[in-house]
Amino acid sequence: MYAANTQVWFAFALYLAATFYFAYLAHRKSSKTGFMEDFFVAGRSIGPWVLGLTWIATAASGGTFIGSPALGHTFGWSVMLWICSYMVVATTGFGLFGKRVAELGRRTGALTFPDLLRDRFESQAIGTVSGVAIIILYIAYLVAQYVAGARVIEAVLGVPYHWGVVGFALTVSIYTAYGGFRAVAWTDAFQAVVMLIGVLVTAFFAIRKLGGLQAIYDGLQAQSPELLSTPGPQEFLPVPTAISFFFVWALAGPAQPSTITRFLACRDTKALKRACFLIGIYIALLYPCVIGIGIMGRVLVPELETPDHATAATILAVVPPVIAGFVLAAPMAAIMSTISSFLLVTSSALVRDLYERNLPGPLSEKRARSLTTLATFGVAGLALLFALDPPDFLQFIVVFAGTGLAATFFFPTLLGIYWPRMNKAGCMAGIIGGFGSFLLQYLAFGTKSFGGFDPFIWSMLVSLVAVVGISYGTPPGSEDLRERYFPTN
Amino acid sequence: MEHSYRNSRREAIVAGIITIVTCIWVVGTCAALSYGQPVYSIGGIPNWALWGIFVPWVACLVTNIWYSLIYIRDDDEPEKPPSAGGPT
Repeated sequence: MYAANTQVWFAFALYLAATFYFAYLAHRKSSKTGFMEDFFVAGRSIGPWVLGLTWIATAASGGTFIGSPALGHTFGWSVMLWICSYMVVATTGFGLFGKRVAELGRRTGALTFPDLLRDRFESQAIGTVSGVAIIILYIAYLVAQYVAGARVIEAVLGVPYHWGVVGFALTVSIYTAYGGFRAVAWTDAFQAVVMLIGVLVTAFFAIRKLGGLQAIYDGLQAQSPELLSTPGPQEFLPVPTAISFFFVWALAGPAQPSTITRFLACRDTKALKRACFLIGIYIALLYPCVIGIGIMGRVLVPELETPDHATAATILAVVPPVIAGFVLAAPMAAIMSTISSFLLVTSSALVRDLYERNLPGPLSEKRARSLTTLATFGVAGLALLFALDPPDFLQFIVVFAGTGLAATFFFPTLLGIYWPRMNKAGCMAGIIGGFGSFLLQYLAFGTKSFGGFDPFIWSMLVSLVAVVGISYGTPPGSEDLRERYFPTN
Repeated sequence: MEHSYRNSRREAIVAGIITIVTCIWVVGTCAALSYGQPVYSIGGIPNWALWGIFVPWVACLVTNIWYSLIYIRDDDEPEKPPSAGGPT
């Protein structure tokens, strides 16, 4: 533990109060459209600021604020290369998926990610398989976020780990179940602002305290010249791994169902364009500073109980106590915003994709409300049970879940929305081929597959070949379906 | 073929090209200037990180501004369905 004083407690309490206030405001603004459309995509009314900020707050998780600085602390400047493909994430995320997904959502009425695939290929099986995959992989993700959040609270406030996990689970599920997508998006936007301010303030004070960039360079060189070069200490980042991670961050993040769902809530193309512009700037400010905090932490506090404490230790070492509490809310904000988005996408998969879409008749609004609340708390409770006794291979699960989701869904989604010839057999083959080859490579080779590349790279290729090969080898979809998605005029 | 679909497809292809070109620039430069090569400081930043990460990052930022505000076409939006999916 590095500090636990009244000011820090006060700042945390204020941050939580503000989060609930935004959730309350969002709930009050609920539109008069149907419950499902309002709860899952905020009536498709999200404007540029909230869209951009909720998109990035979902992508930036506990891993970004706890795991990445920890790597920076351990492996130095090579981690900058490891994460730098975020420089294209706004362009790839919004360019590959944003406009087209938003447009199809408005045209077809899709409310969830599986809705998009199911309706595009008129296949109940694709919707169900997608829903099940989302539930399993996102629960694993949620466990990791709970654990990261509880460890921050434990390190900074001295709250016992188990109480921290329970507090996290309760807090986030209450405002998610209360306000749905709008509350999640609004609180995400607030949390994204907290994250950016926290990171910029910490980086500013750290550079000032250390006496400038050259002094930091000299400090690292004195410890180990490997901290200044690639592949870094312990051969952290050989070239094939650097290439793999360039595509992991550039493509895997934007291809997550939780980030693609954001586009379904977008108001119009104008909002989307502005959000893409804002997020490019936001990312350019956030990510170099996040890694920089870890690198500077290596000079400031070389010895840590665990590298995961790099962010908290650096903040407490450089930021004046009066504002340290507010800055420490940044990692909490990153974790909470990700948990709320994952809870929403998982509960929507349960209620919308596995239950409602398999019912013979319509689902009443009252029942939809109670089921959604039940699903939100149920998923939160299940993740909580796993988090109370966290597995040792937690980071393995996080990387596995994130890249696994992208390997499974990237090409089936991308080609599904752009390629008229693709059919449901091709989509299913892409999903099974991507996930199957990913799983097999992980079991056989771990994180370094053929040629030293991450299994993600080969799985993407397998998925692409499966989609294209099977689509060409089987009859195309109906003319009516093609006309609906790819009109000739 | 519908113009909004055609535009979206063209914009996606350009996004893909930007990603691949950036990957070649970043990994190529870092591989050439680090990975066993002598590293030196330029204003406190390792030379490979300056030319291989920060300069391309600025280029990507400028490209993203052009891409988002100018290149993406503001196509006509289809009408919202009265109540999509679920119950009303």
